[in-house]
Amino acid sequence: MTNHGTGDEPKLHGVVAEYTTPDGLLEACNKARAAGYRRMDAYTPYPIEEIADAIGFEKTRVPLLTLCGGILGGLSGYMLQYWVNVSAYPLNIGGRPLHSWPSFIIITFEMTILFAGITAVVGMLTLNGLPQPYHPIFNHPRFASASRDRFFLCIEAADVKFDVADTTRFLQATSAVDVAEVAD
Amino acid sequence: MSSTTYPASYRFAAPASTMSRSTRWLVIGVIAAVASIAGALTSPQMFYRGYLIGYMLVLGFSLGAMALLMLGHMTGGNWWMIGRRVLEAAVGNLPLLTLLWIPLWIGRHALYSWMDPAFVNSHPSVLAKAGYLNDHFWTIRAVIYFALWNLWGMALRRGSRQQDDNAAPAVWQRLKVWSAPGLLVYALTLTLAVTDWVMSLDATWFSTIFGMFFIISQLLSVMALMIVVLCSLREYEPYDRILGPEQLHDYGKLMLAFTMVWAYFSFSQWLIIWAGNLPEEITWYLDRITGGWQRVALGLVILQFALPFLLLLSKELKRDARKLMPLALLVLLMRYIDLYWIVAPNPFPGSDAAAHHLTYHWTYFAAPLALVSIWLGAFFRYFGSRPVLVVTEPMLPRLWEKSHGH
Repeated sequence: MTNHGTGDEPKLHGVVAEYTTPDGLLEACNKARAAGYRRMDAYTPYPIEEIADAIGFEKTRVPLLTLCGGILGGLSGYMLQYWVNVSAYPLNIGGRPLHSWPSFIIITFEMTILFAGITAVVGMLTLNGLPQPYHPIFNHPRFASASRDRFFLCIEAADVKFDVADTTRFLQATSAVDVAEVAD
Repeated sequence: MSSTTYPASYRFAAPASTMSRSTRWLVIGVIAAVASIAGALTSPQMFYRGYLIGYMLVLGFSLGAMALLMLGHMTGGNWWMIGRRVLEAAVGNLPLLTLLWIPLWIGRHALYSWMDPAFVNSHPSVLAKAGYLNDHFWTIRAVIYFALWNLWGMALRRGSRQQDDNAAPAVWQRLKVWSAPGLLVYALTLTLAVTDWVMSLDATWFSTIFGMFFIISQLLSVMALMIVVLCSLREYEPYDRILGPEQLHDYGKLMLAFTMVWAYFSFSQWLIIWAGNLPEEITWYLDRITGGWQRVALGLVILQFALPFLLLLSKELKRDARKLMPLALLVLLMRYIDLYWIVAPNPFPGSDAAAHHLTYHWTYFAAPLALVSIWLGAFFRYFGSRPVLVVTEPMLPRLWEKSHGH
């Protein structure tokens, strides 16, 4: 256990269990949810689709933000062209009407993609609280292996059901190879 | 994975209902075929057009399936592993399609104005193409297309049959070796084939994206068909174990992608021709956006693109078979409407004028119904005669176990 605390009772981030297989982690996540834990996070070397459901990951607002960004981009792209071609510089091009919507579609489409893409990235980073120079999970001595061959489940101290002794015992009862407390 | 949770002797037989489905479709097919023959005798020009609409639709099922099958051999993927035998059964209909092409050959003079020397001589732009666009070369080319398609179809099915018994790496490798050039052969032959059979209905018109447009149309058709077939079998073993929301999600995503590419190519063709506004190109669209045809065009924009696109954005819809399946049926219906909109407004041989007013003839319904039903009848027969999954597929146990956990 790593301890960066200053007082007698170090503030805990949570209790972290280490697994050697994705199935072990998945099983523990399901058990933890069934036991009533809600504030938890899983760390894996590669994406495991089922984990999101298992740890009770709520719906994100990224898709909605992306949609709004896309609509905003599309509208601004179309309106920019409308303003340029109809009001600002009304030129006769090949005898076509000033408001020639088919030729506006490409820019509208590109602006939709651009705004949707930027909103998705920025929205994802913001909602994830990134960039984040410090995260207590790195206080775990072997956390670096979460990007190689180990799977971690952290039940956070912020959970209403959290109790150091109980939670540690609970995680030890799963197929964890190691259970450790991690300081905040 | 170390262990499999299905018995080693498990053969993954198709649900028994596939054979009765086959019989039902064949009965409908025969009735519609009899009606179509009556149409062929009374109004041949209309009939052959209806036949061409239906033929391009079912050809799209088989060739699109072959393209997806080869794509899967190159890339893999769970969706492909699950739907592979559906695609192979569709490819298995290529010999049937070769036979069903013969009526088009018989009716070629009723279909194509340029088969008539008088028409060619009075149209300089068609006369300039006569070296390519003439009766004999047109037939020779069709023979070459079918030879190549059947060759690849046979190679792919033969390799797949061997995989059922023997997982020798050489067999897997050989299928890859066939698939890579096969994709190229598919793209090139299909481009030429649709130029010959569909674009040349209006011999004075041309569009270079037409082949690409048909490629994506075929992929969209077969993706929708695969979704309908798999969703209708989702209650049966082994699909009840492996066709979960995650797999449906993949199919939904692919259908969304193909819907978008379909719209992209359709619009590209329209934009370029609209912007150029040249008499030899724009008339094709004028024929299709006046006289009532504009309603069909608008219907395509809304029901083949806008509605499926917006609905498929939803994650819930893509993961729910009860919602995804009706949407896939709508896509299939619109594939037919799209072909109708492309084929029906063309000028008839013997008259320079396009079908200026929205026309719908009963053979436009009867002939495609006959072709689709016969195609489905043969499809289910082939599908039902083999294991529905490749048992020796190395990735299969993983998929099986993964879904078992849910």
